[in-house]
Amino acid sequence: MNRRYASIWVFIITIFALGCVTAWLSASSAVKGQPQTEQTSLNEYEDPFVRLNRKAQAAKGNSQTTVQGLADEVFTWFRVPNVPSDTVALMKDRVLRAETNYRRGNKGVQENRVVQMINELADKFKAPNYTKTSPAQVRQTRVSLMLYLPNFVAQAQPVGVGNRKTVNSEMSPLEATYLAMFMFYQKMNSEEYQVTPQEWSEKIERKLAEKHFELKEKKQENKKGKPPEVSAKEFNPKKDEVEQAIAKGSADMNFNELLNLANTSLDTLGIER
Amino acid sequence: MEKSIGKVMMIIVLSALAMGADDCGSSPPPSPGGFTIQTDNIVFGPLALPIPVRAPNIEVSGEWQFDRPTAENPTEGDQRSWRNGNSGALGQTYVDRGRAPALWQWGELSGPCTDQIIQVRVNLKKTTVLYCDFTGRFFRRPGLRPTPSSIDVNSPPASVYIHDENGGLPSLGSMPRIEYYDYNGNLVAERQVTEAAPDGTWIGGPTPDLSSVSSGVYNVMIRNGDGSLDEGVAIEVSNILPPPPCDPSPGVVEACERDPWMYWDWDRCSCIAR
Repeated sequence: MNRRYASIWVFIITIFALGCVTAWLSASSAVKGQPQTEQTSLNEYEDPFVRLNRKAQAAKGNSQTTVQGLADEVFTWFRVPNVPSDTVALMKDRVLRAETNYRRGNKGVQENRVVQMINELADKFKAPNYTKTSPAQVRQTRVSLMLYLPNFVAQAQPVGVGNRKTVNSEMSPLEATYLAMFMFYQKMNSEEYQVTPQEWSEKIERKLAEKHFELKEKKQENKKGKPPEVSAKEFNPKKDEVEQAIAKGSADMNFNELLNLANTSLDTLGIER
Repeated sequence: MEKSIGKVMMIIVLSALAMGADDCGSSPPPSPGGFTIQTDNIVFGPLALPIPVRAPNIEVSGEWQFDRPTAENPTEGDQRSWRNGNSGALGQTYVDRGRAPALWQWGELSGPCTDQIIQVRVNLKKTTVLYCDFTGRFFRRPGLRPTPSSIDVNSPPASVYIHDENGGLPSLGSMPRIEYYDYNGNLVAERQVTEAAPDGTWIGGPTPDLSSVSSGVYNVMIRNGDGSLDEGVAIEVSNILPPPPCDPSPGVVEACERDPWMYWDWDRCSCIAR
């Protein structure tokens, strides 16, 4: 009888020990950094703008396959770390449905919705003031992207405002989503964009004056220019500050709020459910 | 009696195991060292401001050079080499146990900055960004350029052309026009395309009247007859009024040049320090 009990205890302890080792091993492998997923062929580099523009051009025929391909590309551009792939898939499906409806004649998304979404996220995460954007910053960004993505950005005919026409502020849902994520990326990573709306206006005024002076002094740029050149940034304290604000803000939200954040952001953007 | 003792001991042991199970699934302590390498391209933003865009799937390779500890962060981590790393879809790679703070030498092994290397300090558990900077060239997209690349409003060219080495520009039959936008997206001028190469490598149209626009960089876009946008280039427009003739008051030039440290500049029409 004693021998039988002893065997049982040995069995229980062994199972327990095996379970601990398994749990420890799986926890330690999760400590590693960013997994590499969905790599394109490492030997074929295609400029991300060129690829996105190509897919946008292909999607002009409105076939489901090509519009899906465009949506896939938009969401590949801006994969957000730590967002579950299921959540991303749901977001993409929602934007794709809205895009399909837009191409059938539904209304698009206005630029001011992108402003609203970015600023609401900044408030939600209690991020620094320089993460806020403005209608001017969003508009000027969009205009600059026209040169890189002529088949994707600002596709609607210009609209008349007074005696002048201007780029239509209405965007397709995919363009709006892309622009919002582009702005988000700039606010996270770009020192030029990590300024308040007031500072942005002053920066633009300075750039205009500099360009005027440069042209006046006939300082000609080398139009052929230099090939792409590698450089590096050791540390951007504002990037760190924004990342910490997001991490802290996420920690302060309950589980449902986090889960719904993607949906509420798309609601603010004006992407129909 | 033996049975009861046995049962009690089993209960005690199982309880002890249950209490100990709380510690079973806990994570091991984080590895020492470690930092993130991010890969971005630098492109032109509004008014040609340099801005980063994510550059995914760039192969990177790094070698530790020497330690750069700080008062707050002594150097830690035993990884001194990072070979065959790839920044992946997120444009980031985590160098597990990478030695930091330290100076590392990094190279990009794929993409437009292939085989270029740079030394940069990496900070413990922070992100260091490697940029492939495209702003050394004026033209946004490879193979696409305007002629001329700048327009002087006071002596404009007769026509403006857009060239595409890869072909694909619209034909005259599709009735394209060329539109000129400022940085706020205001359409300041437009003209119908009047010339086009049969192979789609260039199109052109008369230069519009730009006398009322400010100096700056303008988006020059091709719009097809069906209303869709096609391609676009950036063109500088210079609208500098010619200065009035330099006619200083009598004695001003002489007074200026009496000072050995000064001279009269007739182009600027002012007394300038040497």
